[in-house]
Amino acid sequence: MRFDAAFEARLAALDLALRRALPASRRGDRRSPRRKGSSLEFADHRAYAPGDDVRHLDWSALARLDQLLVRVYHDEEELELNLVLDESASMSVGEPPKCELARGVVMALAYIAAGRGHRITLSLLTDECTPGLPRSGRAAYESVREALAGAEAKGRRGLGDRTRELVGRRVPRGMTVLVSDFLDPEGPAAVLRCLQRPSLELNLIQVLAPEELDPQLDGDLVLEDLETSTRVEVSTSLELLTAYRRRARAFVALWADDARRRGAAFASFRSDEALETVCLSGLLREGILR
Amino acid sequence: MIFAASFANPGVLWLGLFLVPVLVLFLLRKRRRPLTVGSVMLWQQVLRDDVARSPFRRPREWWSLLLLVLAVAAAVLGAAGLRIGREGAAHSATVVVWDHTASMAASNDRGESPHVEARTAILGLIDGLRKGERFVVVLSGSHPRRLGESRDDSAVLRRLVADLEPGTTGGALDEGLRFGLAEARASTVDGIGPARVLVFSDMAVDAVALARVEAQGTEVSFIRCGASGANRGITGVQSGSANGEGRLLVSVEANDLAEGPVLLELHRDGALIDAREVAPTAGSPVIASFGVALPPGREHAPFELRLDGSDRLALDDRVQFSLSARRPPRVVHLGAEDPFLDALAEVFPSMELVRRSIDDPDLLGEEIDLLVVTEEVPEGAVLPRARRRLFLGVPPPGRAFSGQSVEPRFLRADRGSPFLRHLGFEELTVREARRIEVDAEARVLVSTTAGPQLLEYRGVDDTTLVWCSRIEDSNLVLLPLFPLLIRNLLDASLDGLALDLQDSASPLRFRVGAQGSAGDLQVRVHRPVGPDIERRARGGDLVQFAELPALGYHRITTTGLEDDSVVERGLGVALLDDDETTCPVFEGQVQLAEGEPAALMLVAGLQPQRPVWPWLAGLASLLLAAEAWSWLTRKN
Repeated sequence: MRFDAAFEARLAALDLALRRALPASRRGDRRSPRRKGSSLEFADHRAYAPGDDVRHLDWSALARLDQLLVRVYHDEEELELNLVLDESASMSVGEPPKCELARGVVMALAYIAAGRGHRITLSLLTDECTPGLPRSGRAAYESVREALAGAEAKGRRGLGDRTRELVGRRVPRGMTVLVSDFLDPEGPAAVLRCLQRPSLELNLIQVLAPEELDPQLDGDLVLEDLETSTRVEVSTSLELLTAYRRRARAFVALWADDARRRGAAFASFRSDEALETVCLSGLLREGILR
Repeated sequence: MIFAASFANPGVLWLGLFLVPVLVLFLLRKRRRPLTVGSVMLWQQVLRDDVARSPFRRPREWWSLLLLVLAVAAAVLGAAGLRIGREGAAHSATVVVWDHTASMAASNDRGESPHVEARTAILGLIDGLRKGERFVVVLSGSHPRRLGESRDDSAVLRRLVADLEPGTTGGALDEGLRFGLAEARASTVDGIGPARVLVFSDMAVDAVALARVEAQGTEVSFIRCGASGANRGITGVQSGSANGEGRLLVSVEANDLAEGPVLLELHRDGALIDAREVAPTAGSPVIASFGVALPPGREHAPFELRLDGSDRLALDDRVQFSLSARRPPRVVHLGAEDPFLDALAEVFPSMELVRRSIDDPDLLGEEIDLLVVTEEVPEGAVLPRARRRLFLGVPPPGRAFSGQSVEPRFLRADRGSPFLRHLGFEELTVREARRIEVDAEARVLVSTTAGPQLLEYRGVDDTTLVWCSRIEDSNLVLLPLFPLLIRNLLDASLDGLALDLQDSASPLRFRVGAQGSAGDLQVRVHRPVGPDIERRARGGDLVQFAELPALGYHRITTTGLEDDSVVERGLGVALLDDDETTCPVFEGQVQLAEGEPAALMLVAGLQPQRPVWPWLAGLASLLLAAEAWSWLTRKN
């Protein structure tokens, strides 16, 4: 998957939003007592945005490329972005599949973070929950893109289970964005409890298929769970479908309420929504981007 | 009475086999379509909530199967003609004795009559018939007759019952019951039995007569229809004469529930001409007298008597009749020629006097006002009917003289007898009188020292007087009292008006033309109900129609086929039945001859099995509609 130049330009104008001060994560207003010439480690260039410190403008790049670029140093990009993507089998369901939008959102966040000089860690929650290594810069973005290209949503373990294992292997710092459908019987408490930390800004992005919110089913069916192979016999009726829709809305609301109560941001999208809309409007609205 | 169910068409129950393919289709349809979803978590929660809200609800598909099964079952049971209701022991034959007398037409304040109540109940029995059950309806009126029978097709009988109007005659219910019992026994003989008899009546009946009926083991139930109510009616009309004027005597009776006076009106040619206020009470009829006359120049005129006021039975409140100028009285002398008897024709010029012999072939067809017999009637001979008979010196049939007495003297005369009106027997001399046994039926009008001289035997519609000495043995025919005696015997026949009225229980009967008149006659009867009827006759013939006439005024036109002469007259038909008018209130049990009381119930207590197929058809439709609605909502 590649973004077009216009979308990338719009993404470049965005940044991750911090709702609270994290240890060593204050951006923009920190003056590092760097010694001139050598103590600041150059990280990358990024496009100038109004408000940036003009002392960090790269004048030679301007002369050379006729573009306003600013240097990004490691001291400035103290934020680590942990991108955790649910790659269980349920994410492959939907028209279009949930994993498509989920991966697109992850990629977009990686692009933004990389442009801002943040360090990026990508963890794919398959049945093996191996945390990724932090990287920064454009190389980090490219590695995220490659990883996503090769991903397959076929995990069968529960989200809570996999999250606990991930956190057990590496305690996340900075900002964590968990992208999933959150269709886990353990509920939000299990996931939020293991991820919630004072040193962690937690954002939850839910992707659900349209048919999971408003199923268009009729007749007598036996539904089989893609992950657990559990079977449920259903004889559809107007009453039953209405009850399901009500239950689906309540499910989303439950995650949202629990997340916000724990200081996390929560956004829920349908898999048929456009990536541009999600990133440029939805995530901004929910305070995950700015 | 037990609650029971039966089927009119049990053979249709095989349609219940349709349940098998219904079940098979259902089971086939029950196979579910598999569908893989990302997670069944939400579905599980929804189904859990559904069960929690309705812990006793069965899976939806089983409701659907139940609806289909019930719909098929309802349709099959309905087609099989399921009937339920209270029913006694099963009877394969039912005989209904339906009281068809006039009192069944008596109506209550709501216009309902016992006849309608009985008809409704009988139609309900017909509708509840089982296949092969024999059902006979007998009408009990003036002459019990069978109305119809149903074995396999009740539609015809149902129509006969539904169209039957109330009777217009009196009758004896015990005779109808015997007729019905005979029908019931015929069913048993035919191997159909057991049979039962249901009697539908207002029970305005003679309980004593019922107690003589033998049921001989057949189950008999009486179903009382209607309720008692006040009634008055005209029960008798007679014409007579007084002082040379025509008189009309009208008898009005009432039952024990009628109170107060009522106005009795006399109409002629549709106009009111006279009225009397009468106040009959139970057991005490009132006789009202009207002076009547024909309009000048007319031979006959239509009259009507009306009782004002409304009561239960209207059939006895109106009597239509005709008064006509009386024909000459017809006197027939059976015996040898006698100048004293022949002289009567000179005394009464309007009298028609003829002499016949006992073996005259035309004798029996004659309508005779006075038959004078002076010769012995051979044993076995049949005398013609006559209104009055006078045997002079010969015994009437069935009686004999024994012994004789010589020169008895007049002792006394019964001055109260109308036949002795204005007569004195003080100058009577009898040379030889015959002795005749005075039995309980005889009334001695004149007695002598040697026994009765003049006796009266009063029959149902005739009166016989016997003079116990021959013409030559007394001075009877010489005395002025003899013509007076003849006159008293002829009474109103000599003057006054003839009353053309008969009761509804007798067939329409009248004499046309004069005997001996030439040519055939075409007789046409214009009836108050129904088309005219015609008959060919000859002069003097007695015309009679078999079916019972309708109440009301009949106009009779007699046309001479050879001379085209036309004679018109009227004849009224009225109920004139005091039993039906007084409508006695029946109290207590019905006792039949065998000593055991028969069941007496109200018509409301008779609850035959009723078909429930309409309800089952409706139920089947509702169930199928519910299933269709269920299917539609499932699809949406």
